[in-house]
Amino acid sequence: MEFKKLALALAIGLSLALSGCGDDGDDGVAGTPGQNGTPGQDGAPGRDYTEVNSWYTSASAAVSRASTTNFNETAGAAKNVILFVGDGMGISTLTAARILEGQLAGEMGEDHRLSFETFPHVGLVKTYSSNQQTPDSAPTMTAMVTGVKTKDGLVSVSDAAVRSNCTSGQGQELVTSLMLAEMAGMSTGIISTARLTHATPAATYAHSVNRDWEADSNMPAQAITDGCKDIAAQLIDFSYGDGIEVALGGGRSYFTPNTTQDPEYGSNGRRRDGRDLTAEWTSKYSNSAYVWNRDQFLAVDTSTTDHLLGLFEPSHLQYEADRADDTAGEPSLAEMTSRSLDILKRNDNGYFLMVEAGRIDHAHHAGNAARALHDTIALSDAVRVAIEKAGPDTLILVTADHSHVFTIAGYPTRGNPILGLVRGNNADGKPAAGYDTDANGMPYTTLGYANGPGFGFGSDPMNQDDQRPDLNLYDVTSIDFRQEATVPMGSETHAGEDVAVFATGPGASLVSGSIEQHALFHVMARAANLVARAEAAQP
Amino acid sequence: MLRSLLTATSLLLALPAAASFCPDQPATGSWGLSYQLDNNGQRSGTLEILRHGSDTALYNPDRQIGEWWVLADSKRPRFHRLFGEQQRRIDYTTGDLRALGVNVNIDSIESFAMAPLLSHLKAGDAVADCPAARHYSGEINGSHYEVNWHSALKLPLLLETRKAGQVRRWQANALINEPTVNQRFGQWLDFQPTDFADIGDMETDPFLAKLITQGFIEHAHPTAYNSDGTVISSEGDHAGHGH
Ligand SMILES: [Zn+2]
Repeated sequence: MEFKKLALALAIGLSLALSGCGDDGDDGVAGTPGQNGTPGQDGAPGRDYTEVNSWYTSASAAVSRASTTNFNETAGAAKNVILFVGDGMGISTLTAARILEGQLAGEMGEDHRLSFETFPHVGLVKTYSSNQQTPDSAPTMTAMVTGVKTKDGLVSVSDAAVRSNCTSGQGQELVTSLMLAEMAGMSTGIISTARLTHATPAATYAHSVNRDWEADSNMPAQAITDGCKDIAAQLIDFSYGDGIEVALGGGRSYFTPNTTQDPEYGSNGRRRDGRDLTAEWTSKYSNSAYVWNRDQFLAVDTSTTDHLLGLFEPSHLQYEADRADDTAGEPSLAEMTSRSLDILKRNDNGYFLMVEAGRIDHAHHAGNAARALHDTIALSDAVRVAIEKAGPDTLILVTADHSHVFTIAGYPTRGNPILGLVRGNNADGKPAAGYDTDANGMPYTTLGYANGPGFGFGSDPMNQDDQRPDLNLYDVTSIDFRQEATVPMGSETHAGEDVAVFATGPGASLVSGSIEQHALFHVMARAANLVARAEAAQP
Repeated sequence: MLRSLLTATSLLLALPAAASFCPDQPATGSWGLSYQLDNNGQRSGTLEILRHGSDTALYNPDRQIGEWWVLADSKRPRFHRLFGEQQRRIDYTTGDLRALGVNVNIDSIESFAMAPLLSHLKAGDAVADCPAARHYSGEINGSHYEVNWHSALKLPLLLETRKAGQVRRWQANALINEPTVNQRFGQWLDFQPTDFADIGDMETDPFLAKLITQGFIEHAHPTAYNSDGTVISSEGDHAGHGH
């Protein structure tokens, strides 16, 4: 019986296959080593899935492709490694961002794919830290770039250290994948839309027993006396290999003295020690540049610049949704990725690049889903650039450090605006005339949070039966709309469920199944043979 | 209850003539007004509004808490929340304010939300003893307003609202001089700053942890009135809706 059904579907499917369907643009042709592959073609939008068997043929084709995807899994087959991290980019964020991007392109959205959702290998990552069920970004990124778990708040020091206790971290410093790459003579880069001193980028190049020790003014005097160094200073004083080639992001005020004024806002820097680390960068490295706005950034000659520092805001960069409105102009994550690769690719020994979409997390904490989703789409754009520029000898991983308590609720009909109120289907399976409602007859949004600032709406009109605002009165699809939350908190929290990791390139099949977050270091280290290459390069 | 209402009513009736405090327009860009707040005739607190160039701050000297608006770029306002007891400051960028859905109305911020409401009130005579101020009164969304408005300072010298037997009164009683204002702003610059965007990741900081769990952040609207023009705070902490 089941077999007969399948055969029937197969027969119809085959005839449909002859008529041809658009596809999702993951059929890019691999290039010869050292050369770029041909970019994949985007499928025609609005694929008609009302013909039930096109589901069958498209999925069948995807499986066929998967069965023929063969990466060289020899240790060291990856010349280059790019690690993309969406801070707080849980799986519900991926689903919602995928639908939003599709809907912004005029599609229904659900069958759309973010750039990295075309990668052939995916795993589920366990994110707990050595002392917390639900972690923050410091131990999670430490796990990804050092290969061991550590405690919350610690940046690339082992969990033998005690938070905020300087001496407890001495001798506990962990070697990172970026340090190994530098030792191996590779080029290295870090990019973030957060401050470069923020936990995720910091874990690649710095050791700190407190993620908040970003400038010397953030540290207790005793810690400085005891020999601990702030994170910004560690970026400039970095001593492995020939130094970091590219560092682009925010956090300008952590690199400049409290006696100098910011070029964009006029506010003072945060350093008490008088060091201007931006000037130290250009004096430390030859063929180097420091830029702080988009025009300067685009004017950099990437064919001759060996060390590029870009700090585009005193603190975090703008949310992607606000970037166009920035006073001095900021590059996008995709632009930063693209031009970084131009510099890094000049090294025949290969490169290690870490790219963080650091503000997905912040928008979620504020309970503002739209900004989190637009920053996720910006990460997808950056990954697309990397796919096209990096070449087939590059292992690309895309993952998150942890999730958020962000949900996709109800039974919205196909193509229902992802930021909108839930409109379900009627008895005929067609979109209903009105919105779905709660027990008190009030509509609700598809997207929401389990906790955070979106509980209640201050003094605005509220339904007294369920203490919910009347969402008929709001533009819930506005970029500024704050989704509802169940538990009232000033800031929405991280979540403890697994995140995804997507992989392509040599070593990608090492990513599969349910894996520990710290195993991602070992995937990268094996694929690019980082430890042996680093050892071999030592005098 | 009845007694306090009667007291309030008699104060109200005496209003247009009661203008003993009548400041001149300050010659400097740094000045402030101090208000005594009364709730049904009972003193409920003190509130200062401080002007420093294009910046405006509301400060409660008793509780040492404040809200500081940086408005030099009117399209890109920034905001600081001040906690004097802990010497801490929370900094909000324009993007943070947008993500929180805070609509910034500079006229409102600079006038206790009163300037946009004046056109809904009936203009009366100049205030006795203070010709620079004019009396306004009327109903807005069920609240009765009595206002002595100083047109040069663009601030009320007296603001009284009545709704459902509740009488709230803000009486300006002192001009704050330039050195005091400068000292306040200078002191706030030295507070330990935290970006609002970072608070969610700083749950191990006891001060911030309290803010994360108890919340204060979303109610960043500085006005004492909600969108209906109703007084929603007379304590000086200005909780407001954030849309
Ligand atoms: Zn976070």
